[in-house]
Amino acid sequence: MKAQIRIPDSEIFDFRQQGVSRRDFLKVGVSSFLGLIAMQHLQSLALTPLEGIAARAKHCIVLFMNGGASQLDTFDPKPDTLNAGPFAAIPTSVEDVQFSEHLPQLAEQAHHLSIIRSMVSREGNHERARYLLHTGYAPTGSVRHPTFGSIASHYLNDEDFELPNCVNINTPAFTSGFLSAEHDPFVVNNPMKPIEDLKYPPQMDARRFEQRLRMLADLEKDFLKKHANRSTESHQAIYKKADKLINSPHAKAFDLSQEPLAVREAYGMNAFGDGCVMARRLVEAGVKFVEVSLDGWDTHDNNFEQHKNLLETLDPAFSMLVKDLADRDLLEETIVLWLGEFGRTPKINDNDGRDHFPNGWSVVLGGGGIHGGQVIGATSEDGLEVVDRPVSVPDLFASLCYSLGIDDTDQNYSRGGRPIRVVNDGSVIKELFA
Amino acid sequence: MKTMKILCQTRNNLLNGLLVLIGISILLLLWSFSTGVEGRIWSGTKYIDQLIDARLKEEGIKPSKQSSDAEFLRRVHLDLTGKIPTVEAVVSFLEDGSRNKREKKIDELIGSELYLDYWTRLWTNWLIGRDDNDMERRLGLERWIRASLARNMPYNQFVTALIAAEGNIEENGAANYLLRYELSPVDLASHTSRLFLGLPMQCAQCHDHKTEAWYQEDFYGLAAFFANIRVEEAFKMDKDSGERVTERYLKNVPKGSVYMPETDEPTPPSFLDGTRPTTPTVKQRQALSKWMTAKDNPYFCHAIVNRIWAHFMGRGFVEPLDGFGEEYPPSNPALLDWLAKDFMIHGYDLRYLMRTLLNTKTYQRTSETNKSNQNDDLYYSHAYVKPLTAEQFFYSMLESTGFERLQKRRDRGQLEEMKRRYLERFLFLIDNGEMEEVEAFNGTVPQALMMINGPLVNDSGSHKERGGLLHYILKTKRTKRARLDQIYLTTLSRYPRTSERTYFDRYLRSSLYRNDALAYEDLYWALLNSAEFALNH
Repeated sequence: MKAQIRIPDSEIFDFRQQGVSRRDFLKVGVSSFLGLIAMQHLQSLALTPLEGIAARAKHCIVLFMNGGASQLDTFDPKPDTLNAGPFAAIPTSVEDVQFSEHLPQLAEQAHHLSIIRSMVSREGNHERARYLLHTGYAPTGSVRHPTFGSIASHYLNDEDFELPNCVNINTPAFTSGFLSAEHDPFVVNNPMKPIEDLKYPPQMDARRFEQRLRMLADLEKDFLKKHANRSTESHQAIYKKADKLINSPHAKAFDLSQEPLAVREAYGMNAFGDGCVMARRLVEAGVKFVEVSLDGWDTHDNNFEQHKNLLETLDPAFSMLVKDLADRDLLEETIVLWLGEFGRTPKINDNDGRDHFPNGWSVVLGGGGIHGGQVIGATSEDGLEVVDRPVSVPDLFASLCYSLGIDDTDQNYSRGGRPIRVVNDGSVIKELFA
Repeated sequence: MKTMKILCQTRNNLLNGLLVLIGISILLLLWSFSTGVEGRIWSGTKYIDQLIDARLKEEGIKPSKQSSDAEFLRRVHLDLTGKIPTVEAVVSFLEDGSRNKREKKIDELIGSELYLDYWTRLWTNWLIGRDDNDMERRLGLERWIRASLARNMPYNQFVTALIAAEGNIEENGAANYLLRYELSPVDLASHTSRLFLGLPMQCAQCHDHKTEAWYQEDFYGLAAFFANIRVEEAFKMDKDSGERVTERYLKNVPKGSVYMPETDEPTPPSFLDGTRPTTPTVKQRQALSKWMTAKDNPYFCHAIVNRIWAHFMGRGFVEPLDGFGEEYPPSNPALLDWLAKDFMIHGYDLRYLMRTLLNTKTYQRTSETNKSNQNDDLYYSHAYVKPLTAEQFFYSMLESTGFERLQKRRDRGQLEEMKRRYLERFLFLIDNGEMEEVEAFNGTVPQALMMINGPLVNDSGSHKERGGLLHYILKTKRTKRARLDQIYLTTLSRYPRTSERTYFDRYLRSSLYRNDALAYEDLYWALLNSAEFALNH
């Protein structure tokens, strides 16, 4: 394994601390700046995937449990303990690994999955935690970090690809932050309905549309010339992408009416199930990143009834997605991640609910070169603390990057000119790929 | 005095200089009488321009010319009312021959109903964000903000009312700000310091701040001010209906504490300068608001002046707006200091501040760049292009598609519901979850699809759609010239240029449409989809 050249933070931040402006920095430090670029280049050359394994994943699907799912009632059951709750634990296709009884179909796919039971973060507030679990960074006022889908789109971008590289299904998405606007998520509000306005209005045809676009280009040429800036450029970029999408034969990936009804029914025939079908179709078409959300996990009261309902939605969709990807030989090149913004308290509160819990919770990964059928880390018997192998959010993000072949130490510049790493302080979870 | 200094810089002949100065003063005095501009605003705007121009000279940048009337009008409407002007407003402004028509327009818009609507929405989003779906809270806060803006409540009182709010929540809408964060002291400290002081204190929630002397203790000391708030419910008989109603009160209780991570001792309330309040616990938020709005608090006026400046000029002296004390110094510290002081001297009057800024030459420059200033994004050599926010875009589109006209013909009752549904489609992307506006419309493909293919644009832009805007234009305007005028005024708030008329003539001939109306459809569509429409320039 080649040594990785890491640039210590101090070298990068020095020029700021001495109160030198960016402009001065460029003037004074051109040579050292070039040196820095050279170093970064070396670094990317030196980016040898762990133990020499080539990056496997080309796509990433994230299943996001908005509100925070309970680890005890899903992937870290504690049967016969004080905090267990009423759910039983059932065996899975992997020996000694148990899931909640309400995940029977997924239990059969456990050999494809790695369960991390030792996630730890400091963010117990929905908004802050959601931001952290989408960007890898805790929110700070001064920088808008890109959501991971935009990072994937930025690094795995294929200029000629006609579909958006980052698609979010079912909820609003975070933005591309300081990356270019063309990497902003394409949001599908309701996968059960066709994408709105994807087709020309009835009175339009391709030839006339072409003519209209030419007129638009002609008429705004003068304005664009006199206003060459970031805003006009991103306006142009977005229109180019929209135009490509309208005319793309791949756009049918968004059209679930082309999917056999039986398949949609197997996924559950609801917004989340259809979202998962769409995610699979998009990955088949070549889309790099898809996130599908399932909302309603913030179960401060009546935790068990609500979780039972949600798990009945989750189980068929998640398991069919994994199975389908595996059957189509797509699982090896698609990393699938299941998570929420945090877990829920082991202790059951007075309203039969569970509250926010970032101190020890579970996420699930599969595909993308990940070694399935294992459990990483553990929580104590009462679930209150991590007793083995704590995993941080940056560790998780570094692992996603590793699987996708993205250099997590690469830097982009924030709007304020500050260099920001793709992931800060994360180490790849080696066991996943062992 | 400043004027004098500059005029006398050559120091060749002091007497000469004085004479010139007196002469100029008399002329200016006469001019200001003749135009009826308030002197205090006039001297302020002049001074701002001087500082900006001096800085440009230092940098060797040639500023752009002043904007045309149409350019100015569109910009000032977007900045003050959140949408483009009506066709009537454009035509009457362009026809107005008076020399001070820009000042008059600024005065007319500030305080108008549209201004109150827009700034109420802006302040609501700044205070509680857009993703707070508690409608009762939102409406309660909006009512209070609108009333405060309507009577131009001084800004220091405005902030005091929010921070120190207590009592019946129904009656005191300001209380809804504190409720937004479920009374979480940490979130309130974070948001309060960002919005009102421009300080990104939330970094210090987890670690000591890198560049400034903020420590975790400072942050939790600030949070401790918000630790003793409770909501209490009281039941009352409603006199009219005889039903039992619940009233909610925001109360200060004598107890409540915050703990720094991994500590067992509560952190006591302390101001950011390290001093402690001497007031009893139940009065501590009053003490905090007093400290925040104090004349010697260096951040209070700077933060708001920087925010309003950024709103109008497209870039703050300090960016991001909560980046005070961060690594980069303000781009024009002398001007920022002066503006903050001037704002304080003039009684924290937001309308005065706005009038001062909007009357400057700096604000009224064209956004077109020249060779010397095309790369400038720091010294205000030209009006910086601002992407329309989602809401600005939405309300402008309603205006330029005649949406309300069209919908009223179809179904009156559904108008508001349709508006809501459309706006939702503009708000696909959330920001960092911390209250900032969604940055720009032009960021998303679904919205471009909506403009390209959607019924809103294409129905109002169809020559056959009765009640649609284009149908109406083609029916009421019979000449090509008048039709082009109307289409440009509706979409881009200006008359077409000669080259644009010529282009359209050629398009008519070469398009091979049997029906000319189709060419008008294309034009209307193209203008609504142009960058010129989507940007505030």
